[in-house]
Amino acid sequence: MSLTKIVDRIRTAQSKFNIFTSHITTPPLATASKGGPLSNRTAAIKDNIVTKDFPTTCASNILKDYTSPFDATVVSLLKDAGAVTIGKTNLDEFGMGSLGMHTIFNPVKNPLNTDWCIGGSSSGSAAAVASGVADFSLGTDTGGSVRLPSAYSSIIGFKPSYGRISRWGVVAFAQSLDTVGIMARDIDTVAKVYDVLDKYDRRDPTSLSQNLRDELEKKASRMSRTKPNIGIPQEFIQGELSPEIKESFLKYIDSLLQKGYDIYPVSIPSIKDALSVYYTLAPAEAASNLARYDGVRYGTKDPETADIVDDKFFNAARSNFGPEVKNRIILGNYNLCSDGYKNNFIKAQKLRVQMINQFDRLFPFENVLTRNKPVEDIDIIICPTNLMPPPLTKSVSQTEKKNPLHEYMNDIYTIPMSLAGLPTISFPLSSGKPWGVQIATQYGNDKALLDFVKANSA
Amino acid sequence: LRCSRFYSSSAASSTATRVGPKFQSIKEIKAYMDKPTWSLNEFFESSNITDASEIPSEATVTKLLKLSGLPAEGADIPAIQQRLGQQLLFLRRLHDAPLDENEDLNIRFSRIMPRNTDIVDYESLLKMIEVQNSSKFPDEEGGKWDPTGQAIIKKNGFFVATKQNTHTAE
Amino acid sequence: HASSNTLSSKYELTCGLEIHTQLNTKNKLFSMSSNKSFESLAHPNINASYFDVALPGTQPVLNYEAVLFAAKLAVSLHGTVNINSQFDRKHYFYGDQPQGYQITQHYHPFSKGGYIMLSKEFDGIDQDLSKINITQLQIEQDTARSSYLHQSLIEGREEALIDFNRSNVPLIELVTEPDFHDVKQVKAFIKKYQNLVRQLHISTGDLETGSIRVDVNVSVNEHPRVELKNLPNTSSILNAIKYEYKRQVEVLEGGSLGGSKAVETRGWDGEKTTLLRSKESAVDYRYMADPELPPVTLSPDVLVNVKKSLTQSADDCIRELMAE
Repeated sequence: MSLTKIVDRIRTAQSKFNIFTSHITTPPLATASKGGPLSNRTAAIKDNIVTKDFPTTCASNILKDYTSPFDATVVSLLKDAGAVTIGKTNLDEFGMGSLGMHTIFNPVKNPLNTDWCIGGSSSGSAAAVASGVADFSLGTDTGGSVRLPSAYSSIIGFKPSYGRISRWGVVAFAQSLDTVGIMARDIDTVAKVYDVLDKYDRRDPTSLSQNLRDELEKKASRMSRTKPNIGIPQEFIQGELSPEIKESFLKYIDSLLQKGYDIYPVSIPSIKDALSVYYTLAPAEAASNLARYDGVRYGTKDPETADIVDDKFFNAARSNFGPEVKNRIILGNYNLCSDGYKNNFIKAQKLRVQMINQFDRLFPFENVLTRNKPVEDIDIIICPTNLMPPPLTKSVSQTEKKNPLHEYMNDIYTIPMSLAGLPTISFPLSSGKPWGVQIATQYGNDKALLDFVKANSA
Repeated sequence: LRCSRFYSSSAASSTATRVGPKFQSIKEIKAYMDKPTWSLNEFFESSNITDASEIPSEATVTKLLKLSGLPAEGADIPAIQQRLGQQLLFLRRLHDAPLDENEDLNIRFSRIMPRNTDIVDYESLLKMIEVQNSSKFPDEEGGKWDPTGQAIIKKNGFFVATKQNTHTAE
Repeated sequence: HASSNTLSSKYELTCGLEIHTQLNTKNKLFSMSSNKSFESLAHPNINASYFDVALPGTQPVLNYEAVLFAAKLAVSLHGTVNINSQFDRKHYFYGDQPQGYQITQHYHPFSKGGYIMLSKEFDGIDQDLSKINITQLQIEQDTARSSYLHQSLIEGREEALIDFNRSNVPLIELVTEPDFHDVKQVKAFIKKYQNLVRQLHISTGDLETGSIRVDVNVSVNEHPRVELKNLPNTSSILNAIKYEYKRQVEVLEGGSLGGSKAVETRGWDGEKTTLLRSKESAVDYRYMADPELPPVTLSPDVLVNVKKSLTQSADDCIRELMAE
């Protein structure tokens, strides 16, 4: 895209879809002379990834005036590769939400149809790509936050293996799950950006080590099956799946059959536990991570109100969190209190181990982290990304009142792969339709996944 | 078409990964897709509170607010009780979920990192210390940035926290 | 009245110690900012990295020098090093706790067991020999330093000035079994421990500067355990124990010195122990395994080599000399 016109295009897109929390207002300098692999490609960055050149708000009142003194590793890598960051994108506060409705900046509008929710939490990053204003964007995916909005806006969303992309500078929601994801309109761009970001970072203690990266590289090149075996997990088969998505999905499956792929029914029983495991672990980690926002060192606070009043700490500053974040902090602290921890948290961790082990038995590619011995011979699994088309923005608040947990229902297809750290791509099944198909494979086998999607985009 | 798509008998463990026979046609897949084995809706419906004893007490909520650093004054406590109660019913599914007794479900393995971390021997320990001590990032070099730069209140290079005791104030 | 040295035979004193020792590693525990919390007093926040003030998006990376120092101490104390120790988060809000939690080792501490042997001969205790058992050692972060300005602003507000130079300095918390039964043993143990960490070059070992901080658990007969905190030097430690002994005896006898028979935390004001907080107001720390720090997995060869590298302890030297 021409960089000289970009500012006008940003303004137009912003007024139509409310994509950005902040953006460039003067044309950026061309970076072509540098000749990096992403020269002059425009990038939009989710506003929970820190940047020196823009504020980092996490769409929260508590950070609304915060600017980081440093760039996240992913932001530096993109800069070095020649990409031009055009702005920071709107999100569900601190990444908590599935619909893009929990933000202090008003919800993002879906470029496909502005009456629809765009999904969350990487709402603005999805819209930046879907509207065409950015060539690609970065989001974060803790339980589906890249994949769901990608499906709702009919673009590609890739959540790589956990630990592949550095989290240094990514504002933590639940670190044992948080993963930087890539969104774009075509798989080649996704793969190119992934190549730039797929680097070991010694500032991130969960970054996949160089040794294991080297080992994976060797293993992947030894992989020789040209037509991977495909499994459809029966736990993902739901009566609630909308008929049009089901039809579209079956059509895609049929095209794979036509191409000669072998497809199998598979069962990974732990998928059924995924929602309860996730909503036990993630809020607990969130409550812990969000304990640092007290207004003393940075962030919003009223200088007229004391930080500590009697035995109550930081109540005034922390009242700046939005309602969904407050809810999750309360639930998280419940799960961390001694009884909750023993009864819920530990059980959830065990179920998570069990789920990882179940996935490991399915894939012939050995998990380099667990070293579990493979049993079955299924290379990839496939399922829809979303159960239903996006809800209408205006109906969301009513549904939420009826049962606030319904928002979590969207997450059933995305959370299992988050819990197991598996690389997963969502891509549109038919252009302009707000749903997607998800393909996932064994931990660390990201390249094979990208290759499969390159060969089999709908 | 067979009812069950899987070779394993029903006696097989409820925690085992299974793979059924290869689908022969799209028709088979369609039939498979028409037969859900569990229902998300039921899962969510069961978290509608029908019994008042399922609702956490006001004291619990007040304690949680304090641990969360959130004010109890002005909070809609009944609404929080209701919402937390729903979430807890939903999480109660955890207790029914079966664990495979034959497996090592060490919670140390619940994170996505190597289960057998690189074992550090003496030589590599000394080496790591040497490398770490000789490679700092700019923010780790004293005085290279202003830590109080983003603080709303600061004094002579210090951060400031204010404390107030409303009970003893006269 | 707090200076009485004699303990009644009817009432047995039982003490355990919790000692926090600042390690003098070159850098901090989870960042590579310089560990110079004393030298930099005049320059607040000069040795504070992005992580040390808990900026959004920062992460801890373990300094292995602290692990080596902990191994030296554990081996010297004859402890059993956990070759798979892990870090946990202990949650509480405070101005000097930037993350809202302290990273410590709660569920899987660095080492367990071990002891220090005290003797009449070398340590001046009343008994010939007295073995003080160590419960465990854990590696953890120090807090920032707050100094309070007692100038009252509006409506009794107090200001704390916070300096993060000390934040994230490595500490070892040592917990002993309740094996002390008189004040001389406590005195001898602290002195011996100070000598040990100095000899190992892992800490300056000074109480006055806060390099070593000692909390004491005191219980007389069936009186519930009382924790004494804020004891800045050896004499306040010893005097606080003596005072607390008397106080608990009086409580048991239903006397006037006051206080209830309760588990509580008390401080020392130079003359008497005073209530800091009762059990009811204790915080629920909500310990959680840290979700990003990997376990510290040591090969047994580390311990073998650390042992070799250590100079012999003073006692052993003297014993060997005498045996010749």
